[in-house]
Amino acid sequence: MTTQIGTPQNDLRLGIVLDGADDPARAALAAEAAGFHLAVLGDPAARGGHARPLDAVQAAAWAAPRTRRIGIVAETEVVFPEPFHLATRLASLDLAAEGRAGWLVAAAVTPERAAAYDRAEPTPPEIRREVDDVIEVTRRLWDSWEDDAVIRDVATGRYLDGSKVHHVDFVGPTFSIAGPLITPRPPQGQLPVLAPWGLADPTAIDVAVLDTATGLDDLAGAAREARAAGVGQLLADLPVDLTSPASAAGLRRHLDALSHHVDLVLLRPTAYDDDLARLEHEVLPHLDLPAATGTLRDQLGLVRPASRYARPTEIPA
Amino acid sequence: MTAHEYARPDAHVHLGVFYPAIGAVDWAAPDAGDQVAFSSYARMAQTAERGLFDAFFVGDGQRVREHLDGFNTHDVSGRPDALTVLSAVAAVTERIGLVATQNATYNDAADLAHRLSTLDALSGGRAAWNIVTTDNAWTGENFRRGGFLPHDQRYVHATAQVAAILDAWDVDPLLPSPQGRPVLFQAGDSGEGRDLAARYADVIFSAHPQVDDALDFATDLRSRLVARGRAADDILFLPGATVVVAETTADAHEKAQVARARQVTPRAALAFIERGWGRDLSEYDVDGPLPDIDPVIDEISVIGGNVGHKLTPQQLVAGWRELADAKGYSIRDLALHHISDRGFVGSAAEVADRLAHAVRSGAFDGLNLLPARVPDGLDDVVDLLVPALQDRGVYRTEYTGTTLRDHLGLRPL
Repeated sequence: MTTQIGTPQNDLRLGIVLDGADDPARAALAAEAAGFHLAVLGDPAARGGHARPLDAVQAAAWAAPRTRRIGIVAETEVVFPEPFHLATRLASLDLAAEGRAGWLVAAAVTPERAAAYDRAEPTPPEIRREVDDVIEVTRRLWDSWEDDAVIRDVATGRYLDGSKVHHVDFVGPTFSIAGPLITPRPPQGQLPVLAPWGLADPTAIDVAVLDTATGLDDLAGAAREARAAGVGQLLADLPVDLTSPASAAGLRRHLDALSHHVDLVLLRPTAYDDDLARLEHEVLPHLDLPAATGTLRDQLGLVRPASRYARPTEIPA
Repeated sequence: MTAHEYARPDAHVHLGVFYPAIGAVDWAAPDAGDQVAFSSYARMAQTAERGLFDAFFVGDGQRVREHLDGFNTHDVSGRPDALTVLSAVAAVTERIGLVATQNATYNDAADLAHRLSTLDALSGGRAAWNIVTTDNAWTGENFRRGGFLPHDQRYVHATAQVAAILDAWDVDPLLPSPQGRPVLFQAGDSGEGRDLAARYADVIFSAHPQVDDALDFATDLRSRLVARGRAADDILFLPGATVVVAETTADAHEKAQVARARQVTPRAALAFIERGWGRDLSEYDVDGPLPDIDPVIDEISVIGGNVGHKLTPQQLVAGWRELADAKGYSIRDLALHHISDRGFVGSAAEVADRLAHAVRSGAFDGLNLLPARVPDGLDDVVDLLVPALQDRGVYRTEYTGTTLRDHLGLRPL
């Protein structure tokens, strides 16, 4: 993709990390009112001391009913917890958010966490394998109930069509899961899956998160690699500090530059309430952003897939 | 019985509601709603809050129930994660307690402590943990650890988990709560279950709603409490029960009967006895007698969610035959007979009188209701029974506290 100087891209979508806010629900509502497309709740385990110590999926579920349009993305560490629980919780979040939920995958491997979960500390290849396995089994579990499994057939006394619920029978080196999921198919079918570029199989995720810390050239290079590897969408993770007077204008220019390489930018404010106010008044109005609408998949331009276990309906000859 | 004869003349009735996600749910009712939609959970919790209930419970299940060679299709199935949905319910309610059933076996103690604590912080001190255990390897197939826990170890393990979690809340309260820590509910009826309750529980979600049974149970539990150095009134008793009320007693009985008949379809009746026989019995007429063949299995399968079945299939079937012979039951009649009869059915006035009598006698502190359907299955109780209880001076007319501990009247920590 060539860099087009001075041509603003108006299909950029903006996200904001809510970790610095006191109340995730008020913060999400404020972000929605300001025009953000998605809000991210960080996993305390993955963020160390930089996130409020609320469980991210629960904080996301708490924020969800108060909002109407904004996507709600929960970050979870995946190497140590029970994958079955993660899949259940995320499906449940999508129910609470009525189809606006997303999943940001993280790995937080330390000797302390490994010891706490009574496991040997995994090596980098083992971490990559574990992450890929967790994403794979989660997607299978989200598909394990077909969309029309619940039939409520009074005539035959069947609440469920048993042929539309499936074991997933995942077998891997560190865990195996029979399934099906305890929760029926999420509203979106598959929640959008975001992961840091390089952490997971590029074809297994929907959005790769790119680092901005080392500058635009590095990001542009990573973006080319990621697209070539088959990632659908790219998101730039951008810490922001809006304390200085010139910073809003500077941020607008930075977003314009990023918009030529990525589809989304995730802002990470330092002082949430102050930064959000400045973003709302001095940055977003200049960006001509599309409105947030529909499910998170809709926002990301992702078609809603049928369950992988669904058979096409046979038409009798 | 006059006031001065009551053990607790000033007692009030505490009510909880258990969102019906499993078992005898009237899903075929014309007004039955979506079982898993958030709107159904929100609606039922808000109705309970309108009725000034102490608590809204959500259950837990870690494997989809199976039956013979397939999935259990005649009952409702599929549920969200309790702590996730309750975190969302917390956002659309203000006072009602939020009780999450969570399994002590397949949860990491630190993770569970953190998640319960998160709900408590988000909700302003309204959270509780309903402690349950699972021990079968079949459920374990969904988890990293597999079926690691022998049946006789499950309470040993659960005790250790509870101790670790209480410790985590005490030592490192990352998330302060106005009520100190989540309230603990426990439902075990076995000797070990009662011991766990006596050690740790604030509230017993018991299986004894009938007054005589309940008094015996309460007496036993209270003596265990005292033996452990706790005060005899340190624990509340909240038996699970179904309540069907209407304007008149006749209407209530009719309503209950219609719902029961709708739930016991031919498929449901056959599935009921297939558990005992261990094979497909669909060739039998549900309005005819029990099959005269023998069970083909040696033990009751755990895959249907039959927890702790102590009888062999042969014993179970023999018991059914005895009952069927004595009462002239068909297959359908037998299944109907076994639909939970832990119920209070009658006019609102009648049920209110019975509940007032029970709490004043010290038999229990209230009930944990299991409505027949979602999302409106609690409406009649809130619209008819609550005012009747208020009229009798045995029920609050407003929330006076903000935390679940406040509503339950538990001693401050």
